[in-house]
Amino acid sequence: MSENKKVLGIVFANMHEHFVSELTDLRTMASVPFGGRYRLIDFTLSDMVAAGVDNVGVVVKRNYVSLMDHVGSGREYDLARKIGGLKIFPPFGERGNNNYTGKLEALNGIMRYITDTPFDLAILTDSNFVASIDYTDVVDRHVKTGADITAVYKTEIIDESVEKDNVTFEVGEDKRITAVYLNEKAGVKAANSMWAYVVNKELLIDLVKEGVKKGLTNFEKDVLQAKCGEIKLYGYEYTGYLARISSMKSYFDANLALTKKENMRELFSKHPVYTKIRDDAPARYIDGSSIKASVVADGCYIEGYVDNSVLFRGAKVGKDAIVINCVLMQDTVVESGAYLENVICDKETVITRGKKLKGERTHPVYVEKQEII
Amino acid sequence: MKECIAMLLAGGQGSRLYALTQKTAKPAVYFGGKYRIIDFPLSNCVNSGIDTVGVLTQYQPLELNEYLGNGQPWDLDRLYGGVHVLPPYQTATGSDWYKGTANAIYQNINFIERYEPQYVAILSGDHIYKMDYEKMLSRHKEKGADLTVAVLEVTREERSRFGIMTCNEDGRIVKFTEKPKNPDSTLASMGIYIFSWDKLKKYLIEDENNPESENDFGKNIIPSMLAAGEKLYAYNFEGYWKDVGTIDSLWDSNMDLLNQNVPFDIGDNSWKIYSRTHNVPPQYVGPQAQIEKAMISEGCSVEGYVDSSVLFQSVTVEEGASVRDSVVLPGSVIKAGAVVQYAIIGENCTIESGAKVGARPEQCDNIDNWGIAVTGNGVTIGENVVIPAKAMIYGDVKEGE
Repeated sequence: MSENKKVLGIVFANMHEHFVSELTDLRTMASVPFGGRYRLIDFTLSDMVAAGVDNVGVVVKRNYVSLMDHVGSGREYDLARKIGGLKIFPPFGERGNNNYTGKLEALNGIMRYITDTPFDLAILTDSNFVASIDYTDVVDRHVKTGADITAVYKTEIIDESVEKDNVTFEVGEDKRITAVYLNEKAGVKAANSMWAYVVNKELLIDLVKEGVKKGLTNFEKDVLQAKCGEIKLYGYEYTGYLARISSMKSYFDANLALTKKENMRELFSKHPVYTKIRDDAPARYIDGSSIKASVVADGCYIEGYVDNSVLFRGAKVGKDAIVINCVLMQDTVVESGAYLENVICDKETVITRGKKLKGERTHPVYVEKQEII
Repeated sequence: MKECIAMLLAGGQGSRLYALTQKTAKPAVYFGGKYRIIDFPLSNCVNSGIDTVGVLTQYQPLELNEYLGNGQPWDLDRLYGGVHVLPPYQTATGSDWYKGTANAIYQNINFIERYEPQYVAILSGDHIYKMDYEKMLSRHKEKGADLTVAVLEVTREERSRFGIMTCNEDGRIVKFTEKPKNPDSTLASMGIYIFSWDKLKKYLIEDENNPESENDFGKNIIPSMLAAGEKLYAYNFEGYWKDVGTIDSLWDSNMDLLNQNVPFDIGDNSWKIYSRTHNVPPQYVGPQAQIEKAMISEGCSVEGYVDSSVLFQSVTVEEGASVRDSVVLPGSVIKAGAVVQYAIIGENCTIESGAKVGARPEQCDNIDNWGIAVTGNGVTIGENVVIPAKAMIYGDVKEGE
């Protein structure tokens, strides 16, 4: 890590969940499956590890069984350490209320961890996006500008799905943020926050303490916006591949975007993306199968026709089955003769023989986990 | 103490795999799209409830040591037991290479005794098979045997390549002959043994003290035990078992994985084969790709034509390239317009555009000259170079050569 700064990673696993409530009904945002063999948190953890961060705290709120199962001891990310490593923080029961409402409160719940861990800077990030962020560069810039907080953003047109859930910045030539806006209208081009920040340790502790005292909970509103003029807030413009998971459509589109080679390259060429190992055999293609423009994980068994789809580990496509523009999560079984177009199948679903499911590109059909159709 | 531990003989040089074993021991040779040969006996151990495995290495052990690491991928990182690599070592009275299979175990008596086992399974790191050693051990106990040898039926033609057992009705071995010319049985030893440890120890010490001995299980230990009237039983194995010691057999058994009529399901979740996997993205299949029958691992990028082939992780088949009836090891790139057929392409090779590696049998004038073409690890085959069938390529071949 740059300038010998020690960096702590703090990941919020449950933020923004209600935007994809079907997918997060039984799991955290961080453990939403993505891209054939990953969960959303894999991208963030891998970005951090690639930048030399070896201390990461994951703050969870609810539904975190799948997340804990996925990250385990952190070994697959090289975060199973004697010194530091991965820690998961379940909600801290306080004032009889088992849950926090905002990041400041959540951080207060892990105050001991923050004060006791040796670090200079913290990366705070949510788990609602897929990207490949070079945190070494972000931290370098943070140190060079002498910022108190550096916010990662992408300049883009605000999507309809995030109209009620965005933070945008007015960024000067020198990347200093001069104004912070909440919930900018859809269609406007703006410096849109990626919910990833670098914060100095002392400031972080002060902000959390002050927040608790004043009953403030929201980091974006009560810190970034409220203190914009007071603290040195800088922006870091990210220009690479970014998929925000803010609606079922955006989730669907982001997965199918990987069937384009340039997106695969953008996302996976910079450093390894780690994930839980499942020990599946390589994918099998049987005589008579046909496939194009797709992303396929180990353990798949393909006898039918697959086009422009993402197949997670252990997905099976039977003889004469047709799968077009689909996301088939782990262990989905599409029996022979079935027809699927514009469909998201959650884990362990079964589409029985000859059944036909057809969604629209803009409105994919979603099949719930373990459902049999 | 442990009831049963395994000793895995992994010193094999695999000299008949030529270019593929220049810098690596045979058990570390790649097989089946993401595995190495040693994954099979190791996974069998774990699936059979054996959590202590000594791996005896000798020839080019670097890659194998690194691959095994702390044994975690096989769930063999244990506080007591786990996987241990056992190379030959020096003692106060001198040092020795492992002279034979029995001597390798003899030199590690101290390792075995740390676990005070009742039984010791001796396995080889050369074969592809799935086997429940626990069932074999049950039989061993049931019969009160001193040694149980796993056997399988072989054809009359194959008999002269194996150690052949003759058994009585109870399955007790009455005769054992190494590579016989006219055997009276078709039960061949698979090189998988379960010994009662006290007996094995006794015979290992005796054998070591016999200067005439070649210190080999098949040639010395088993005949001595048989001659002394010890209780030797055969354990019949039914299922897929293949020695992948030659280029042809290695290619054949990879092709077996693509054949639905061969009863060997490598993806069976009830008997998983574990391996050390690299974190690579899922495979990418391009819009122009054409994949017929194949086994393809993660990290691959296929934009060309692939039929009847096994691609290991992170292999690239560019648009316009063709790979048929071949095995391509990790990281190799088949450039646009290149043709690979009936070949084994080593790790991290580059087959430049227009190059041709291998040939179909019907393309050869004399079928005796036909065979699988092999390129060693890291080799580049230059543009438009033609590598004939059965060729063994150790180094780069430039255009025009």
